[in-house]
Amino acid sequence: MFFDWMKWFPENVSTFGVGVDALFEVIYLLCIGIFFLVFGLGIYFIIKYRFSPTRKAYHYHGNNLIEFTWTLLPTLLFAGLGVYSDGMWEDAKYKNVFPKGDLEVEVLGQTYLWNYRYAGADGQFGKTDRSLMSAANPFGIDPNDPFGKDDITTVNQMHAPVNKNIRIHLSSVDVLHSYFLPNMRLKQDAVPGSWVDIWYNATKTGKYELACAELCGSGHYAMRGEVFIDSQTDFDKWMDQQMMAKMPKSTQVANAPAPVTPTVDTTATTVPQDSVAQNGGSAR
Amino acid sequence: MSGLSLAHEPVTGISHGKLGMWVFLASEIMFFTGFFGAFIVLREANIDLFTHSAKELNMWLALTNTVILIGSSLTMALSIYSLERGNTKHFRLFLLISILCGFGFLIVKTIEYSTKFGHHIYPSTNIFFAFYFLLTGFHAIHVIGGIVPMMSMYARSFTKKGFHNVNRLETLGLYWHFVDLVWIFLFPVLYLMFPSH
Amino acid sequence: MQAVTTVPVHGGEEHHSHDHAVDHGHEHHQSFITKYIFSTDHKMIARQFLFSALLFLLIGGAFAMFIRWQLAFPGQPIPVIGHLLPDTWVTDGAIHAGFFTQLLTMHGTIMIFFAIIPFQVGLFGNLCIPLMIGTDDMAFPRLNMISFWLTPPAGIIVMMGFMVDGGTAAAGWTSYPPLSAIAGSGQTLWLIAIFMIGFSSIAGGVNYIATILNKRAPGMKMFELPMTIWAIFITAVIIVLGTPVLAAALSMLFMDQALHSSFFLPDNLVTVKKFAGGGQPILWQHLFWFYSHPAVYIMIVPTMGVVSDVLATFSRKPIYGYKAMVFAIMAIAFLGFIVWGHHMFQSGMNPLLGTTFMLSTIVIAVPSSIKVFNWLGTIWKGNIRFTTAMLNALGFIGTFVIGGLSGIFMAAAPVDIYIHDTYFIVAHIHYVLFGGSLFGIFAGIYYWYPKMFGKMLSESLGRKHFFWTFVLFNMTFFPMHVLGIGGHIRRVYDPYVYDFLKPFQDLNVFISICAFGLGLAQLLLVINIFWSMKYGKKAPRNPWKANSLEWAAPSPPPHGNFDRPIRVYRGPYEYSLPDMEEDYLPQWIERTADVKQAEQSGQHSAVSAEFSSGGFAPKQENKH
Ligand code: HEA
Ligand code: HEA
Ligand code: CUA
Ligand SMILES: [Cu+2]
Repeated sequence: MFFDWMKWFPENVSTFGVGVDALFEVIYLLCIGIFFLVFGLGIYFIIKYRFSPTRKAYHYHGNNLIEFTWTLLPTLLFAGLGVYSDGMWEDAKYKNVFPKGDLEVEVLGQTYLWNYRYAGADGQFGKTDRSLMSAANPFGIDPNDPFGKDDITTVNQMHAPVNKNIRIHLSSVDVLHSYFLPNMRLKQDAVPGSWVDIWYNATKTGKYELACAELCGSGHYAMRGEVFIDSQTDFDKWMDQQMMAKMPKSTQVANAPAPVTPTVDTTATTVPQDSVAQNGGSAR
Repeated sequence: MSGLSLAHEPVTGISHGKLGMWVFLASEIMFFTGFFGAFIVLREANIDLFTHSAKELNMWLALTNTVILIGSSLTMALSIYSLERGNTKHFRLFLLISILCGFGFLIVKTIEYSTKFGHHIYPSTNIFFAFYFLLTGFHAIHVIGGIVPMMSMYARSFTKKGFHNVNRLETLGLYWHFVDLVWIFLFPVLYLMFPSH
Repeated sequence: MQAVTTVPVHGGEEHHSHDHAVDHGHEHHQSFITKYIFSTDHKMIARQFLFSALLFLLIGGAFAMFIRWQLAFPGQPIPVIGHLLPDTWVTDGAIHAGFFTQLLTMHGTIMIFFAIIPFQVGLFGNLCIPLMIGTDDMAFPRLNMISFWLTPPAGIIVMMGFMVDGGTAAAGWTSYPPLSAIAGSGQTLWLIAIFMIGFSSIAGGVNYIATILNKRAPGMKMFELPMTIWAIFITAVIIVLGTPVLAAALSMLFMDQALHSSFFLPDNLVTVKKFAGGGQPILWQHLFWFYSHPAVYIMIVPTMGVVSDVLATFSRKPIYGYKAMVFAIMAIAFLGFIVWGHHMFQSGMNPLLGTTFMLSTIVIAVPSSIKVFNWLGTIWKGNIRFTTAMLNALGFIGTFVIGGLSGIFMAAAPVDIYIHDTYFIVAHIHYVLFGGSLFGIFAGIYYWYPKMFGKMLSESLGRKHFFWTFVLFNMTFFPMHVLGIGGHIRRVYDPYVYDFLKPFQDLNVFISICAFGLGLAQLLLVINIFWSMKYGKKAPRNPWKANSLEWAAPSPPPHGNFDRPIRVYRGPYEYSLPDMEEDYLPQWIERTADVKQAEQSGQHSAVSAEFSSGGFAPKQENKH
């Protein structure tokens, strides 16, 4: 009859995404009901009571009991909806409610790219210092901390194992960004100056797209990343590769090459898309 | 019926001007509430910085200003009282004192600001001083906004028609007391909130 | 006499209104400047607001056309005018990414601050209040004039942004720092302009409250006010309490942006501008939405009143549950101040707050549902006449319900995780702001145009305008829900860099084509307004046979508004009384006396004749 909205969603691959979709569907059905009620009555009245010179309208000022009923009914309905939603909300965003991470990753938004940091071989994040933050060392990793030497950093590419709780510490170095994984039904603004924790548990391997959902400048549209959900073995393999790559030149993190002057509007070195932005072309 | 009057008497019994002023003051309260709210939040987050920086402010100048403003509120009330009784001489005198107090306040403020600039303290120095300039700056604008109509009333009292509009003076009085009140909040919040030791 | 001494602000107007209101002739004493430009007459100010808001609606709409072009055909040159635009905006006629963000920022800004709010507050407030409460003018006519004259300079300032180096503001109409704080001088101009608009709003709000409380015609109780006036009154309260907080936030952002303070900027930002730090970006969002959520009600509540009046008039029925309607608006206004956090579910504020804001937001749907059901109750058993005004009012209800229901999706915080900042929000915005506010505004324009200009708008053109707008509006904005569900983020210059959005291009093309049609359809309104001013049928005093006081005045009302003394005998909704032949009983008619009056003398014949001509006589005596 009325078409099935759920089919427009991108495929859901996260555990709490199931709940989000279900809640959406509940509200959708509720709204469809209200929609047909209101429009049905409205259209019926419009046709039935259309102008006729022989008839006179009913002089009636209203009825308190009816007034009371149609205040109470929606209130109850909405109260129920609120309680139902809240559990899911706590599950998604309350730090003390959601599960401990099997894998913890730090994510930093930076105009217009996403930086990731894994703890590396020792399983420990190195110390960071906000005053060391720069475009070249966005995390501000302390070069003197041994734990930091093996930290693995990547840009715009994230790998994570399937069926594991992934916990993300999210922040930004410059302006607001928003970490949006449509397939995981996950979105969270990255706020410079504070860290926010979010999580997901993906149930299907594959390559998924990551979008920036908060306007962050002219390159906002192209702040695209990719998330690879791998099987545990694939993920371990990838991790090993990263560690290997890290070993010989582990000191490189600190004195990273060619410190680009960190500007907001011209991170041309890191954002190939920005040139797209300049000549107004499409990426296709 | 002599002529058609649709400019009805004030239904509430309060003159338009005064009613409007009360509504406007409600608005003003929200304006400063916005600032104070932000101040509380950011002070909480930067408590050391705030207490530390507050010591750099000149409490004595501010205290002088407090006295000046309270004094001018008093003379404002007296000038309303005099105008009600039709005592033009006293009305003028007290209004003049209020005006001079207003100017005195601004002069002290200028001295304060220029010493700050002399020490290279600007809104960009730190967030406490940003608040300092923001709050005192907007307050000073409000003081100017009070002095101007006072001067106009003062000047008009010397014209042939004179100035006899008690209601208007009372309305201005409301505003002036409000400006005073804001300062009484500002003074402790900015100048006195640091550990006494 | 007395008024002159106790009500000084009014003094300047005394000689107009008091003595010569009946004497139309004196109007030619006014020069062109005082009559048309720096006029203090509320009706002229209402016209000024109408024309300036209409102009800005067209400008904002034109920006939307560029946006739609880019989304449908990214990177392709704009036809016809593309090559005329400067190189800083386009390359070979195709829009730059930077220019695109400027356009969408300006589109939102212009529509909200320069079109819808001036329509709602400036136009309806000024037009309706004095006429509907039966008085000659506002409490503060000069303040009223200032309130209007802040608008055009503010508009010019904000548009000047396009000329300055680096372009105009490009951080969205919400101007979130740090992005806005590190922006260039276009953003400074934006801040100044919005500050001015805020000031203009507050001046209007103070004026409306004082006028409604103090200047009601003799005999008029608060609960005999038409819904429009109640709605504007409550809107004015929202304005007076909400706007100053925006002003405070704008001042702080101005300091950050122009003087490099750091209210909203944390330590060690990696940006070109250097800041001392210590601030919090989220603080801006709290302050901004503390105003801007109530502001969305500023943008809908007046039209809720207008629509109530239009529905009652054309259903020939009393408004259903008058008091419930008033209390519902009050509840909306009150709750409106405690739900702002629903814009910030994903902002990184404490999720505990998310829970509270979710609950309060869901609660706010209750008073809205009271309104909707009472509107349905109003047309129930009515005798409905489908004038253009009525059609637009019915259109308002339909689209407002859809827009409101999409609000429920977003109010549920877990769902909002997914649909926040997608086109689902954009669909919601336009369903409530275009579908809601703008249809209500159209209804109001069609309803009161005869009173404003003394001419009837063309009904046939009006119907065409309604039909095309309604159809194309839904075709443009309904599919945006689908985009949003598909994950289509908003404020993107080129959505197709994402693989998962590539399949949506066809839909975007469809939307854009409908949007162009929708834009063209608005020209019908513009034509109607100007054509009818010259060639329209002359409007009688009370073309819709309505009850409220504005219809007692001539069309258009002279300076001073009324040519007869006004006294109020009842509420404005006494339609279709069973014991009367006529189906309406205006507020200013005394039931027994007026018939006699008509018979007796020609003193008030102009008014009475109109009513007696239609067989206006009570069937039985009624004790009042
Ligand atoms: C006129 C303007 C207007 C109005 C009236 C509303 C009304 C509402 N809005 Fe909307 N809103 C905006 C303008 C408006 N909004 C704008 C401009 C934005 C975007 C800002 C931006 O980010 O740029 C926004 C964004 C916005 C968000 C943030 C989304 C996000 O960014 O993630 C939310 C979230 O809760 C929300 C919710 C609501 C709700 C619950 C209502 C409610 O008031 C709606 C109530 C109405 C109904 C519910 C329908 C009528 C009721 C019935 C038919 C009866 C129902 C009966 C039963 C259920 C039994 N709005
Ligand atoms: C009342 C408010 C209002 C109104 C009426 C409109 C009207 C329209 N809006 Fe608007 N819109 C907003 C308020 C409004 N919008 C807001 C607040 C935002 C958020 C901004 C932000 O993110 O910061 C937004 C954002 C927004 C977006 C999202 C941009 C983005 O996120 O990337 C889009 C995209 O399609 C859009 C489209 C349109 C269209 C097609 C119309 C049409 O209805 C316009 C119809 C046209 C007219 C009314 C004028 C008549 C036009 C002409 C006379 C020209 C004719 C010329 C041709 C046909 C070529 N709007
Ligand atoms: Cu980063 Cu948008
Ligand atoms: Cu809101």
